[in-house]
Parts: sequence; C-alpha cells; structure tokens
Amino acid sequence: MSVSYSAVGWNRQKKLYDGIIAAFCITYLILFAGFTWIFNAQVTFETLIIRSASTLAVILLHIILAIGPLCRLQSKFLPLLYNRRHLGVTMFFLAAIHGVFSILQFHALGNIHPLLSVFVSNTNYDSLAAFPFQAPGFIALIILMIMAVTSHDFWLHNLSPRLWKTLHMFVYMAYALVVMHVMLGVIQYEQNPLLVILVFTGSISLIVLHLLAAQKERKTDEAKLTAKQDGFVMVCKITDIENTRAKIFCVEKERIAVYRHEDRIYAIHNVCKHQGGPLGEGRILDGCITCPWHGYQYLPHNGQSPPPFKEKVSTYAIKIIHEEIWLNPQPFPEGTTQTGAKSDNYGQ
Amino acid sequence: MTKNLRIRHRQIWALMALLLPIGILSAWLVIPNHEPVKILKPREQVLLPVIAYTAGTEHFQARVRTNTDRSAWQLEWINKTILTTPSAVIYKIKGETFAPESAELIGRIETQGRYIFSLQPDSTGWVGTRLILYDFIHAQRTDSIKF
Amino acid sequence: MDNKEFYIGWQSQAPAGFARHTRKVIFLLAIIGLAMAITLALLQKKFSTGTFEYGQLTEVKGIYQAFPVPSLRVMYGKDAMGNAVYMTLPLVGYGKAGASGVIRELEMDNGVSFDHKQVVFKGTLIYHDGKALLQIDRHDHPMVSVTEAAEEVPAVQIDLGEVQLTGEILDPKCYFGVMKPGLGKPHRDCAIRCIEGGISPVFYVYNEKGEHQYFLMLDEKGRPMNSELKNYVAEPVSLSARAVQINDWTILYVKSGSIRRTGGISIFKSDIISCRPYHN
Repeated sequence: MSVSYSAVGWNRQKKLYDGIIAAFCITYLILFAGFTWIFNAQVTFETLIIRSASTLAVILLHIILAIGPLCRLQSKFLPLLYNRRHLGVTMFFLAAIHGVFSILQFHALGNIHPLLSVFVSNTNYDSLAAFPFQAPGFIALIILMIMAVTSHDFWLHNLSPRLWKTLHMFVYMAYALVVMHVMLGVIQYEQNPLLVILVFTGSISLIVLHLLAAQKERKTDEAKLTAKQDGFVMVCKITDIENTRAKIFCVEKERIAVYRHEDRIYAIHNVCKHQGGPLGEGRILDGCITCPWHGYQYLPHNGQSPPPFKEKVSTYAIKIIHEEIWLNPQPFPEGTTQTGAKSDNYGQ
Repeated sequence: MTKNLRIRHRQIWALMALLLPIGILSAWLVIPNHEPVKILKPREQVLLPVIAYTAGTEHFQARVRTNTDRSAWQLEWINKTILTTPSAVIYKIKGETFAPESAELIGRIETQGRYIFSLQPDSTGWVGTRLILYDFIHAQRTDSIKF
Repeated sequence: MDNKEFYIGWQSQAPAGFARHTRKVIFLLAIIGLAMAITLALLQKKFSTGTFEYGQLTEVKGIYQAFPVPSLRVMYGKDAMGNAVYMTLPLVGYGKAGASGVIRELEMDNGVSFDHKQVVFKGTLIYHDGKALLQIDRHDHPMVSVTEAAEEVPAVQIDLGEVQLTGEILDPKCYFGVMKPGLGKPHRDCAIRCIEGGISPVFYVYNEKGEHQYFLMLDEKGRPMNSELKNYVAEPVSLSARAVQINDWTILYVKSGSIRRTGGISIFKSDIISCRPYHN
C-alpha cells in the first residue's frame, strides 16, 4: 500500500522471493545449456539461447497462471501470490530474449524489415499444418510486454484496478497463443510425443485448476439469501463469524465482507482497492481489516485506509435481530462511517 | 475481484477448456510426416564379386574388389558417418609419405553411403597400401586406412 | 497449520505454517522445473555436424560459373584418364542474400565478366555431408584475383530423365552450416527469406537407409525459380522434374505447377507419402 510510487519496499520476504526466482532461473539455464552441450555438442550459441530462454519462460508462465487458482482453493499458497508480478516480469524478460534472438536469427539481414518478415515470410494463414507459428508467438510477446510494463502500482492506480485487471486478463490469450506457437512450431520439427504430452499436461492442469477455483467462487456467488425485510437480508448468525474474521456474502451483484471486531459487526465491500483482493478472506490486525493478497488495510467502521493512505471502500448498514445478522446491500459512499451492530442491540 | 471479473474468468477458462485441447490435438495430427522415400539412383557400377582386401575405421569401410579372373578391380568405399570436412578425396599411396601431387587419385566422396571407384590393376598387391583422405580445400590430410 | 495464522507479504517473516508449506511447494516446483531442464535438453533432436567457419576466411581458386547457380568449379586433380575433375562450390552472399549481387559489384569493380574466368575468392566456408558453399561478403574484400582460365573443360552432363521425388526445399546456406536446425518448420521463415534473397534453393531427399541427396533447383527453362517456391519451403513436398547431373551436383528442372504438399492428417497419410518410383 502506498501513497506514492517511488520505491518498492524490499522486505525480507520479497528479497527471498526474488532470490529464489533468480537461483531457479540461473540453475535451469545452466542445466539446460550444460546437458545440451554435453549430449548435443553441435548446437549453436543462438539456438542454445533461444531454446533455454523459451522453455524456462513457458515453465514460469505455467507456474504464474497456476498461482491464482491455487490461492483461491487453498490460502496456504498466498506467499507465492505476494510477489507474483516479479515472476511475471522475469518470465517476460526470458520470452523477450527468445523473441529478440529468434527475430535476429530468422528474420534479420534479409530483404525486408525483420518485424515485417515475421508476418509476411510464411503466408500460409489458411493452413493449420503450415501456419506461420511465429506470428502468434510475436503477438503473445507484445501482450506480455504490455503487462510487464504496466505491472507497477503506478499503472494499477492510473488505469483503475478494474481496467488493469481486464488488461492483465490478456495473459490468458497470450498463454493460448504460446501453446499454439509451440505446437505449430518446434513440435512439428522435434515430433517427440513426450513433448506433446508435456504441453497437453500443462494446459489441462491449468484448465482444471481454474475451473475448480471458478466453481468454488460460483458457489459463494450463487448462495441463496431468502430472508428479506425492509431492504435488509439475513446473512448468518453472529456465532458463525469468528472474532477478527469475516464471512463473505454475495448480495445482488457484489460481494460484501461481514466482519466481527471487538463484538461489533461491520460490513464493507469485499473488493480491495489495490488489486481486487478478497477483503473478507483477510483478518483484522492492529484494528484494521487486512487484505490477504498484499496486506492493504482498511478500518472496519469506515472502510478507509489509515492515514496517510487514501484508499476507501464502501460500507453497509448492519442490524442484528435475535442473534442473526441482517445486511442492507445498498452501499454507502466509499469511506462512510458506520457504527456497526452489537449483538444485544437492534440496529445501530 | 468483482463478480463480473469472476464471471469473465470462468467464461475464458471454459472456452480454453474447449479450445486448447482441440488446438493441441489438431496441431499434433497435422504435423507433416517426413517419411523416408526413395532416392534417385543414377546407374551405379555393378559390384565385383570377390573381396580381395578389406580395411576400415569407425567412419569408413573400404573393400578392394575384383572378379574371378582378377582382370578388373574396384574400390568399394562406404561412408558410415557424415563427413565433417568441406572436401574429401581418396588418394592411394604406398608407404607413409603423402603428397597429393604424386599420389594416385582414386576419387571424391560426399554424402553418407556407398561409392564404387574403378581401380588400375596393381601387381604388387594391396598389403601395406594406404588410402589417404585429403581435404583439398583446407589442404590437409584428414584420415587414412591401411590395408 | 494454525488456523489463526494469517499471511501478510509485507511482514518480514511469514507465519510458521505458511513458511513450512511454501518451502515444500518451492522445493517441489524446483525439482520439477530442474527435471524439466534436463528432460527438455535431452529430448532435442541431434543437431547436424554442419560447419560455418565464422570469422575464418579461406581463399578458394576455381572457375566461376553463373549457371546453373553462381558457383566456383574447383579442380582437385586429374582422373586416371588425365581429365581434370572438379568440385562445385555454390556461392552465397552475406546474410540472407544470394551471391549475384556481390558478384555483379565485383565484376563492375574489375570491369570484366567473371563467367568462365579463373577467380580466387576469399570467403567463409559452409559445409556439411560432403557439400560445401562459399560465402563471399563485400566487407571481407573477397576479390583476390581474376584471370583467363587456363583450360576450359566442359562440364560432364548426364541426363537422368524424368523423376518424381519427395523431399524438402532447403535454403542451403543455413542447412549446410549456418543454423541448427537449418530445416523444418522452426526454420521455415528464415529459409523463405534466404530463398527470396536469392540463395539458390536445394531439394533434399533421404531414404530409410540414411542416404541423403541434394539437388539444385531450376525451372523448366533453366532459370532460377526462387519466387515460385515460397509456399513450399521447409515441409515435405513432391515434385516432377527432369534431372541432369552436371559434374558433382544434380540439377532438377522442375515442371511448372508440379510441386505438391504431401502433408495432411498424419494418421491418414501413410499412403500419401510412400516410396515413389522414378522413371529413368
């Protein structure tokens, strides 16, 4: 959480995360290059660079795309999510090394511009077998570049989280393009069925993880809340919510986090202003609702980040009738103070 | 995430679940098949029936062939591996000293496979004879076979 | 894991349960990732032994000929009959370009046509599988000398008749040494650029015994056909041609419109790519 975008806080966990990424990438590159060199010594330097960088980038892309659904399914994976954008930028740099070396190797020093050559050398766009596989790879690289460039919180803030998230969903398109780039390119040459099985397994694993996570979310979104009275809906009993924790309810269109803090019940909008993290899956620390994704904090009674931070989310009216929590899904303007509800009171 | 984003995620991955396996499988099925085919064989000399001398290395096999009355001679040369020099010609020498100007040129070899060269009858026999493989572009001797 | 534990990235230490789980996950991912590095490295097809003598210039003396392709006929000795025998080195230019452009410039510099003259070029050798090419690059000052050829021995020509062959159209510069792999789909765009840039295309055929053949390609009238080949490069194709052996290279005079893709759905196409007889 920040009021300016000057420097990233390099805390211990971030350093550790980045250190592990660097160590893994270096070890991977050494192993790939070393084994290729030992068992296939005729390789050229350019091919070694192109292949080691690309295979590592594809592996990292799978890990990156798996982290989101894994965290939705099991919160213990959250430490992997915290610094995921560094993993993404690393993956982009590797993909860029692959792309730049490939364009230089296959398209430079010809009779047309290398970037034009990517699209017009092979023009069999109407044939699957002969399809110009470098074009989808290039488009995927551009998408990854846009994502890497806009990965900083500066862009998140200026583009708005919604637009930023929408933009970053293009990574799925990039992934599909990468899969076809591999399948219609190097696989046609190598032809080893094991490679096809690896690509297939990677894709199926991601599809299954994402669909499982989506199913879990869907259950929350479609839970029926039938008891209604004066614009309020009954969501649960007080005892259903642990102290300092929340339950999430999807009423009408959006999710609302209902928190219990010091024997009072508060309701705020569930979507964190930072990256849309689920505030209801966080907990109250030092009197603040803390987002599980990146630790952004909000005060439970007014949905405002503590000064000097400026993020604000909507708050909602709550009342308690016979130990049951009733919620009015009509949001107050972001940052509106609410007193919350106590179990022995009606309303506020 | 907002509900709309969640729905969009779900829709995207439902679509991916359909399209990615289809894409992967169809891309695999359409891989053009590089089946080996018949190559063009210009009329080859017929191999003489009798193998008189034989020698070889890990890369080459050489057989000196003749007919039953020893009136015709051939060198059957097999490249077992791919050549790694820009040029390769076979010279025949007696003894150890080799100079391309004075040695007898047998012929040039190229791709992997069998080569047949006609030989002049050699009344002294082939024992102790050496075939030298010479890269004339780099002007260097690259291999030799002794009978 | 303690249910009370809550992970926050900006704290210096993750709760013990989270840290333990993360360590396990990272360990597992690292093992899988590094196993993939080794597996993927070992699964690669063997690279060819082709050589591009990058940075090493060699002087080659021979008779320049513009037909069938710009090349040098290099005499390497005399056969038992006393006839000169030659090896043909096709010439290529720098980058993805044929040699015609640089030859034309050198001819203008010297004020003489090189055709059938004895020249000495300084260039970079490219070779593989018994075939060799010479790259001549303006930056290397390739012209060493040009003189009248001492003797003009006519090329040995053998007409091999009409043939039908299945193979792959290559750009020889990359295939014979500059790139690995220098054939197949990953290299397709590069091969197209090279052939469109004027490098003489080569037709590559191999059989089940591992025997390889390389042919130079011209159209029916003996003209370069680079621009017609763009859509058929780097994939299995069949063609009909008249084959004529000229010294150590065989030329395919490819029949117009006879090039066909032999691809299709793999599981159904075993009968499409079969051993095709040739007619002699």
